[in-house]
Amino acid sequence: MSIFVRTSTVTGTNGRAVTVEAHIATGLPGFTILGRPDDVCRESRERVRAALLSSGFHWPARRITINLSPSGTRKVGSALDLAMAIAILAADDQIEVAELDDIAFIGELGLDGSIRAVPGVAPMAAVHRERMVVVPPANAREADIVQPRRVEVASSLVDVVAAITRARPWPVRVAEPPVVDAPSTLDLADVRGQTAARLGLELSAAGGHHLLLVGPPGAGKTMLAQRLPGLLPELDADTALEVMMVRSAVGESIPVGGPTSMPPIRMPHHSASHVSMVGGGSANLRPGEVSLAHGGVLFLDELGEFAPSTLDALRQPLEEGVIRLSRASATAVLPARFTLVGATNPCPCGGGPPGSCECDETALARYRRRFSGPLVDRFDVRVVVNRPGPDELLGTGSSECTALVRERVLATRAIAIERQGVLNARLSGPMLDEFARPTAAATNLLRAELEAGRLSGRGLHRIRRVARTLADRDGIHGDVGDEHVALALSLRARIAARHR
Amino acid sequence: MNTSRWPSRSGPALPLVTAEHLAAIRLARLPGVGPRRLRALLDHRTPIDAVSVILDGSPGSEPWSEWVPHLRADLAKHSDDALREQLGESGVILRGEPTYPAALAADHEAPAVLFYRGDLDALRTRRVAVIGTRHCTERGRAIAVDVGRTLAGGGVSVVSGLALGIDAAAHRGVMAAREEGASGRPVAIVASGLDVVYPRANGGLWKVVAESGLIITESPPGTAPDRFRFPLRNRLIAALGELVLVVESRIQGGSMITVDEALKRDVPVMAVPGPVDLPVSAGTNQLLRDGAHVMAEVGDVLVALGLHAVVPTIRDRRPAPDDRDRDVLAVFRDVGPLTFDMVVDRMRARSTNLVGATMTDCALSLGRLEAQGWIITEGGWFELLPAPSD
Repeated sequence: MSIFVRTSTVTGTNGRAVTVEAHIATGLPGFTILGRPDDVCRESRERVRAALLSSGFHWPARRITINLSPSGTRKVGSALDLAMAIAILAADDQIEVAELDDIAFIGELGLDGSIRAVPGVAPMAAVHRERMVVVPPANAREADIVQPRRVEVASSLVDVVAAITRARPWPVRVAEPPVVDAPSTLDLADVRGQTAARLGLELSAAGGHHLLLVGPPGAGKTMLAQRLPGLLPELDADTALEVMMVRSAVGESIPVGGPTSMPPIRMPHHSASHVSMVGGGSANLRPGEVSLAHGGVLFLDELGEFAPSTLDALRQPLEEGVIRLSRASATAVLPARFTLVGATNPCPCGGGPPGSCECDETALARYRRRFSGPLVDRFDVRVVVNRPGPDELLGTGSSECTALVRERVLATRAIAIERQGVLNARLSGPMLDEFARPTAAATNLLRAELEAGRLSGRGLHRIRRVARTLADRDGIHGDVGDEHVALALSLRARIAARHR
Repeated sequence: MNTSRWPSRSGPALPLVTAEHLAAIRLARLPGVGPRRLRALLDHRTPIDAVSVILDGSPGSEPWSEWVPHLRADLAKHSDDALREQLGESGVILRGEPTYPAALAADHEAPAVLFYRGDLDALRTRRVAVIGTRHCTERGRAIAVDVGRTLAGGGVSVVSGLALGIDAAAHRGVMAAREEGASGRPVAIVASGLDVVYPRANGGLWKVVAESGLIITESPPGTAPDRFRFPLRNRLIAALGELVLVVESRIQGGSMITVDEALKRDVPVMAVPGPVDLPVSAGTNQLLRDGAHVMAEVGDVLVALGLHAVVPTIRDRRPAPDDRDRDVLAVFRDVGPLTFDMVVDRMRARSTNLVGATMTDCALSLGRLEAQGWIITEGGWFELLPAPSD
């Protein structure tokens, strides 16, 4: 006879329902798995067999066939172990379950019959919202956030069998400690000096502008970047759920109490591979750093050291807010809307004020080439960051704290959203003309910069977007004034300035 | 390597290239032969004699015997016509020939062979070497341009190395003055062969200098700008200047090598003082402390040559900054380049305004000051500009 047991697998951050069919018939004893299992999944045979035997069940000495449907989807990983074990037990009539179709089983089996955690439980449970979902104890919170009809945990095959055959109740979930949404301890008040960089951070948060920090090593670029998430508004419920789905898919733990509304920050090292950055790799298309940064900040320190192809791959997420992964075996669209913060030295030698650079022309040219191109054009705000002086380091004067700045950021964002529906960073050319007209004085200022060759066409758009955010910050709803344009112009940093 | 050819020019005939000259090129191109060995080789014999001495293999003359195969290969591979072709419009001078520059003839390290493009008469006037770092500030660049203009206005030839930074700025100043009718000429001493333009970024200037002045090198055609050739080149700059002016330099670097060479030759050294916290002024300030002449204003360099008459009056035609801007301008006095941060912090120390207001005011002031020519901004750094002289 055939038995159907529900479970699921995951591609990217999308769960896919999988039905495990078990068929046991006379014939030579054997165990076959059909339906595109991957290597790990094929190894289930040995785990399931050992788990059954160590849990006190019989291994049917007959011909066992397991089919995983739909057969078009590649089944990845070990999360199907539990469902296969239940299917074999039911098909062999060792157990009798009344409403097998109402339960989805997710979990890896140990050889001793224990049930172990697997990555991707949130997306996997999301396709079984109308069912009871049985998951490993460590994955319970992930299943909770997608709110299936019921979540039950079990730490061994014996427990599961006892519960579904109504011999014993489901094991009680261990009470979790109360919700603590740990506030970020990184406060802007810790940053000494850095007037321009602080403004840059605020503008980035308020306008959604991508931020480039240019300064010598030790200037505090990382310290500044780490304080950006604290300035951003809390994630809305949908985004928070997407963030949790991504984290679940890569097997990161979910914070106690469910989805957090804190925007994430990801800081991949510059040796990060292309795949680790955008996602993919195995057949289940594991999300990459761009997706893990969804809703928050992607901080790339030493921007110039990243492989050019890796940086190039950031273009689609920056434009569309998603990353489309496409492989012969599967495709996935993963969320990837983040604020990009880059940090770099002004030139290979570390730089400093004009006249202190010691690079030769070829090294500079190479450095400059690395930073030319479409990616760097995305950085609206580019700020020079310097090492703070002794007075600033030893000074006792306190600077503005995160809470104060965040209040301004939220007000500024509200103005932009109310006016044009998007943040200022996403203002296109025509929208700039409509929503960010410069005053006569501001136009003169911009014209002078253009005529002197100090501003390019693309640079002009950047300055106008940033000036709009500066005006919104001052609560000015009308045209953008020369004071805002002048301030936006004063913040421009350049990488690898040309020798003449 | 770039082997860009010069566009042929109708006008003065090509310099005469003799068989001795061609032999000298072959010798200069031998591996391991630099200016010093060439001088030893040609000390008591003509180039043709030297070639035959090497080929005859005079006993006990290492490393001459090593050169035999190279020399034979060169003779077989490159005909005389090919060498002439490669020379193009360049000329060759051997030490002892009447056209050999008088300023070099007496030098204890005089090159045995010189290659040149342009007009050798550019060396028959007063000459000042203007040198400095490649990584200069905008201030240094502006001063170098000004010095070049002033010297050219006084009919003085400006000797420099055609490098980026100060070198190029000095020659640009000369060219600007020549467009206004000045008679001073640019003289460049380069390290590579004349058909190897380096640095590429100065290709335009290289051409202009050859057309209106003179380019000299010790390196035969096709020679790459090897690192060891630059200090050797610098000795020629020192030897050709009646005065060596250092505009901006670190404590160490090519400019300081040139200064050492100048001191060996009793050529007076003049330096431009700079802010104490600026790395590129550290070298010039050090020179001043060691007793170099001070260039307190551009005219000083003419005065040092005894040319009092043509000191230009510096009239500042820039519009006077208003009260607000004057405060911001004052922040820059006696300091090097500043970032926006630094300007804002210094202004805040002087006023009771809030940060936001100070930032906006500073931004507006800096914008106005830049438009008026008081300061210049480059890559997020703001710098004070000296007044341009007429």
